[in-house]
Amino acid sequence: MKQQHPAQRGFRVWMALAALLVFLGGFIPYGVLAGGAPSLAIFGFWVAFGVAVIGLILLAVLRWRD
Amino acid sequence: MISSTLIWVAIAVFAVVGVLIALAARRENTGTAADYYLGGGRLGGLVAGLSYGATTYSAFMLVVLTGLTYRGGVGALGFELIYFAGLSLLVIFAPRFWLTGRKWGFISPAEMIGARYGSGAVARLMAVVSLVFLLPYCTTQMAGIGLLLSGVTGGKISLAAAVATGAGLALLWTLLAGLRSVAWTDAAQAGIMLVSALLAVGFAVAAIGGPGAFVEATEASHGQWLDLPGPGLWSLPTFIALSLPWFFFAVSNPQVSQRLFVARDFAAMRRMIIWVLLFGFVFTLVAVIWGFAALQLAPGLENTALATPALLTSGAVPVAVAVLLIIGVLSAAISTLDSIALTVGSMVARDLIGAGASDARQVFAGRLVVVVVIVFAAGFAIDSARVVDQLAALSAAGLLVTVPPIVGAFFWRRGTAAGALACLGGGAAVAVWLAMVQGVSVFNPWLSASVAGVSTGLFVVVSLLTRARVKALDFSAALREDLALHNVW
Repeated sequence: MKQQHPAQRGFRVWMALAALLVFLGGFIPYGVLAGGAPSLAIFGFWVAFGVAVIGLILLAVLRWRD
Repeated sequence: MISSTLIWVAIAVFAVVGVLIALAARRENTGTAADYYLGGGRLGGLVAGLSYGATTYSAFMLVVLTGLTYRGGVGALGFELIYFAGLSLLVIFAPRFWLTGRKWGFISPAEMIGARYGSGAVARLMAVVSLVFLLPYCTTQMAGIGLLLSGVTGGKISLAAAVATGAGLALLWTLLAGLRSVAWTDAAQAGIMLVSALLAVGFAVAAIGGPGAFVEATEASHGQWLDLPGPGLWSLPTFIALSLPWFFFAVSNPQVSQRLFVARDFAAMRRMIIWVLLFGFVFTLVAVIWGFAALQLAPGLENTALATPALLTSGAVPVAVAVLLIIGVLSAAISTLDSIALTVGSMVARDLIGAGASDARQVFAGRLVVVVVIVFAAGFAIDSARVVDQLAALSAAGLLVTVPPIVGAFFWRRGTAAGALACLGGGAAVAVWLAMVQGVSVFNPWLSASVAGVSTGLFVVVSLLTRARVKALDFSAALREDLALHNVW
């Protein structure tokens, strides 16, 4: 079996996380949170989503070597 | 209403400060094309990041996004944050753009893609496609300025006067020193945008009774706006239709992807990305909260694009802060407008006239194009031509056609010039035909899905049926060592 380079594996994991995050960014508010009593749940979820996006990007760029 | 004299005085002060910054930037220019269009590739992370942020976050935010929140509620936040999530593409493409720029001296993204496929025709077609979809987008920036200034003064500042002001400032700051003056003024304008918006939203929330009372009032009077699809606008298909093309904005829009060439070094590029993230996240939240505040303080508007002028003149925000925010929105529009004009100028100079021309000729051609673009945008903003409005709405979906050749340039060696040409030409034709002939709305997900599907399909199928040009560059092989050196995925 062909062995994967650790950096390549890291990239694939990061890509999968990014894709999952974007999917959840639409699925959770529309599929899970929508239709409840008026609250900040959807607003709060999307704020947390934005923070998670920042975290995900920082995870990648902070490993760069200058 | 706000006194038009007060607004003119504020604009005059803003203009003088901007001109001083642009003149200072001019002293650093050396006269080469790379210097004029990219600031010599020597920008620091803070200036590059704030400039990127100010270019990306246009008058759209405090005029259209605020209006979309007013009309449809929290879905506007989700849409804008899916766009924000598209900045994750910078992790993949920012280092690759920057490294190719350093290695081959590219100035425009179209030039880079043309070289990758070994075809000047690819570069030219990409430049033309960008022109077609970006020029009308400039018009909407102008219209945003007009809407705001005439709205807050009750029409005392006419649409024509507002548009002429925006056009004059954008022209001056672009012509003086190219990217360096644009970037320096952008960075200052980003500061104005953020500070003014934070102050204004703070006063608006305080006028409602503070954060707790604001939330209670919104839940009680506009509970539906906190839900999905809200009062009707944010159905799932609409959400997908708007989010899909905007997710790829960081790659598809050359006025921002060109910024990936300008950082002085790798550390500056990383700082640039971090600044964009912070700026974008805060500015998005502020624009949406501002829209919710307008629902409380200026209810019952029929034209929701007037939410910002209505809130500014509601008495909730002190006049000084209101005027500062007006300058903030003006900044947002100008910083986007001058960046697009400069990028379009660079594409004409490098991709249509040719990189072989002298530096002086390339800079002269670019300056000429900048004038044409800004005059075009101003003229059509005043005239409000229907075809321009349609193309402006179509810009994000139309520019999707540039994504497959860009992705292929770095990740698919089998991509060919013929494939890229078919993708750009066929995809753009489909976008225009669907939107302008068939009347498919930008709120219909089939539009962007069809454009993405057709352009990607054409790129893949035609590439598989044709051979790569002999002079095509192999980016993935050429960059492998550098990417490993910088520990980039």
